[in-house]
Amino acid sequence: MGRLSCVCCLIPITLSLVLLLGGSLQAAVVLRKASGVVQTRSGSGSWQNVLRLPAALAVGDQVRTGAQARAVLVFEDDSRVELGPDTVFILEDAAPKRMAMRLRMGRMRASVQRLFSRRFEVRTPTAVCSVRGTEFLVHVAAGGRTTVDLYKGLLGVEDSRGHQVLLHPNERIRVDLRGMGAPERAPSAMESVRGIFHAGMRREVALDMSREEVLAAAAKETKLAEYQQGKVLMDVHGERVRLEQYILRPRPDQFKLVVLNDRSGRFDYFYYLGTFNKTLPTDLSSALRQLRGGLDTAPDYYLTSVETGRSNTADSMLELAQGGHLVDVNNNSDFGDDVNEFFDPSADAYVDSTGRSVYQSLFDRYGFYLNGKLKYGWTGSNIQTYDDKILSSNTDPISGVPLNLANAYLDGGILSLRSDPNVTFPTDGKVYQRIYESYGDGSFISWDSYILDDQGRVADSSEFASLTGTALSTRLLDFNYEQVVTATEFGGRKIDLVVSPKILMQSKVIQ
Amino acid sequence: MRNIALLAVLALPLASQTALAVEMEPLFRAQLLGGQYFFKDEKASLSGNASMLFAPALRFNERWSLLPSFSSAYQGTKRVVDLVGAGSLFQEQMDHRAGLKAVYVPEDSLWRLKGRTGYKAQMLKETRDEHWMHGLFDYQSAEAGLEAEYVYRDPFSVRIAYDYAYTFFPNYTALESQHAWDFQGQPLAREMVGDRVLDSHLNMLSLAFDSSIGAASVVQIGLRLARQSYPRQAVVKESGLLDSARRSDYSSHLSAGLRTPFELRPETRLTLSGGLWGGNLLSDQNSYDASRLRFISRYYDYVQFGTDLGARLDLGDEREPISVSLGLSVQRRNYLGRPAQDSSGLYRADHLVQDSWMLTGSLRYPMSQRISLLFELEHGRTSSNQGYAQFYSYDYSATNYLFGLQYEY
Repeated sequence: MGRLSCVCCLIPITLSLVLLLGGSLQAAVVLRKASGVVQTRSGSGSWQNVLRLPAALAVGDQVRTGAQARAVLVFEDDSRVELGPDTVFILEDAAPKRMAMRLRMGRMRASVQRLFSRRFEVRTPTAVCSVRGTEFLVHVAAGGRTTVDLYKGLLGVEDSRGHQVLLHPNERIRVDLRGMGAPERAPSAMESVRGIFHAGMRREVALDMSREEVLAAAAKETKLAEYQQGKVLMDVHGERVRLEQYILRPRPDQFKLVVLNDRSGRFDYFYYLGTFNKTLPTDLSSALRQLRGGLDTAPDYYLTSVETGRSNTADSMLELAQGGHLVDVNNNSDFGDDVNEFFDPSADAYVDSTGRSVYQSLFDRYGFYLNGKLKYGWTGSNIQTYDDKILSSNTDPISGVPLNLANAYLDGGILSLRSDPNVTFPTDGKVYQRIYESYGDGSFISWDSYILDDQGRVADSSEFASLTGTALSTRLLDFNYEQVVTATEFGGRKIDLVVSPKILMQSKVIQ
Repeated sequence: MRNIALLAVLALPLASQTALAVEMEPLFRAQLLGGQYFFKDEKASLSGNASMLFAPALRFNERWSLLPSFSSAYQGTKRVVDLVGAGSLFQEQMDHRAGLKAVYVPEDSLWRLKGRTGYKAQMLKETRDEHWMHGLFDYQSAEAGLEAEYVYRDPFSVRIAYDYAYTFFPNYTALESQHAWDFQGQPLAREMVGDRVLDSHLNMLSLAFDSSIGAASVVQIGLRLARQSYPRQAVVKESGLLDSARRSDYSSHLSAGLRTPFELRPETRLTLSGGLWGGNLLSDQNSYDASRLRFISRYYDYVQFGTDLGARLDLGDEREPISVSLGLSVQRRNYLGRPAQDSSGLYRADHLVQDSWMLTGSLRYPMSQRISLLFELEHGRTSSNQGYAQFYSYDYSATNYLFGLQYEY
């Protein structure tokens, strides 16, 4: 009887347990909502897409969500767990006294009913959260770094080293393999929204800055090309010099080289207009290689007239040479005009021409004008050497008109006589030369010539000390040349030009 | 920061009820750095750089946001990445920019649609006689653009964008255009010459894609196609004279990069990155070297390619780590039409090639959540087969260092 009563007592208990256990296995945890890719698997089985909702979860089942996906789990006591994107969740226990789950990665928000008879645990790789009625959010990042935010109730958190802390509402704690930090204030829901927005806008600012860098690079390239083409330099005073060089073709037998200099508050220019014995080809280089004449043979192209001009827009300096014809200057009567270093265009360098024929244009008429008035000039007739020239005194060498105070600088009724130039080097150790020309009327012209690098530094004499002849001329081509001309007639102004010496050497403007 | 953003995703519904009003979220960043610049064997005097960015982002609702931004920067110490071949140690630069960007996120969509516009002014003082607002290479730029971004997996996305920019150099006018006649009354300028020859219109299409690879690596791929036209820059003809056609450039740029983080220890994280890129420019502009009477066809055309390698070590708390970074970038540019020259300027048969590499190092030490100490060091070297360096140095090394504070919110 005792055993029967015992059995009778056991039956309802067992039935109750079976019903209770059976009920909990079937509906203790239900996957109620899913959006995006949400998959489940039982034990070590394969992952299956969730096709029907609600779907019951059993102990050991796993849930994972894809990008942008979400899932909502509802427990039999109406506790809820929301899973965010890229989350892996495992239901570890669903017993009446203990609900346990593991969050391997991702994030979940839990809203747990307050049941004192049940324990609710969330485990991450680095933390254990034990709750009895609360609302909290867990995020597991790379390396198991866990962040827990508590919104309601109390939450116990334990790290892998056994340290425990009790979180209060609106507190956050971070846990990693080293342990846990101190609780800090958790952001409110509104602050979290602002945090998202803040991060998003920072990203937009960063994207804009990247795009801005691309656009700025385009502007930088534009500037780079100007520097590489030598259109911007610095002069001896450290000031900006803009330099433009180009050619014009005024007539088929002419070319005009123009050099423009622009500085703050001033503009200077130089031009060289050459007229040849015949029509020039499209590719000027073949003709202009012969600008300095021909070595051993007469050049096909030679100058019949030359005009150079310099100006600062207020003052002008004009040289005119006409009546050009070829002369073998190394075999005329004037040894002083012999060319011992000839610029060989094929080598783009100077070569020794001693004892060889060099055919060059000599001109029969030459005039040098300052501000439109003749300063100096001479004439001749088919001259073979400039020793044969006749200095102009009463008539203009080019136009032939009589000279007067309106068209020439006269001294005692005739063109003022020029004395031999005085050449000095004003700064020791620097390649800075001054040529001073004085005239009978007391006027002067001063030519200050500097050899500069592209930084405006005046070259040291030592840089040329061991060089002579051809080597010196070639070395000069590595530098810029600045020529400053002052004259009594300029009234204190000057013409200041920075040019490539190559232009002037080849055009015989400088020697 | 990303963690905060991710955490907040689930909190979004809580705030949605109160998100109807316009909310303003300020973004701010400021840097104050001092340093020095070295070029070849010369060094500039100590100087400083300062920059500031302020962006009061406005959130109207979950779909619409507006991002005004204002930035200013002063640079007294040149960077190695700046144009240094011209060799001037002295350079001061100011950049000011105002921008406005609208972001629209359609409901239940992974798309983000963006429109933006901006105006930028850069001022330069490169020589002793240049003054603010009167620098030769000062420029201003008006920009506008549209972008569509598909965030297929936050934060990874595909972006396609179109941008337009009009850039003009207010102080740069071709000298030739300013002086048409010489004192003899004869022509001094070529026919067809333009005045504002550097002003340009840029139209650019860009594509960008990033994605995770494996557990934590991130790959980024980008492509840009651009057309830049110069409405007042005449094309140079073989004779050295000017054509009625105006210059147009087409360029492309393709890049691919990979970034992989490693957690050596919980408090020691290493991020390695590497990338390859290549690009080209095709221009119809030529050049005429008047001093050597040499016509150079397709003067600006080039292809270039390079690689970037980087390593960053983060020590300590991931929210405020001490960061040490090292970077190496190597690049080569081949000019397709521009011949190299020897030291005297004589043109050679081979084309101009320019190689450069740059080594960078930086240390960021957090003093508080928002204030950090910064130390940056850059060293670069450029070499070339160009022997002619009268105007521009193709062979040089440059170094600079900067040290200072950064505030970021």
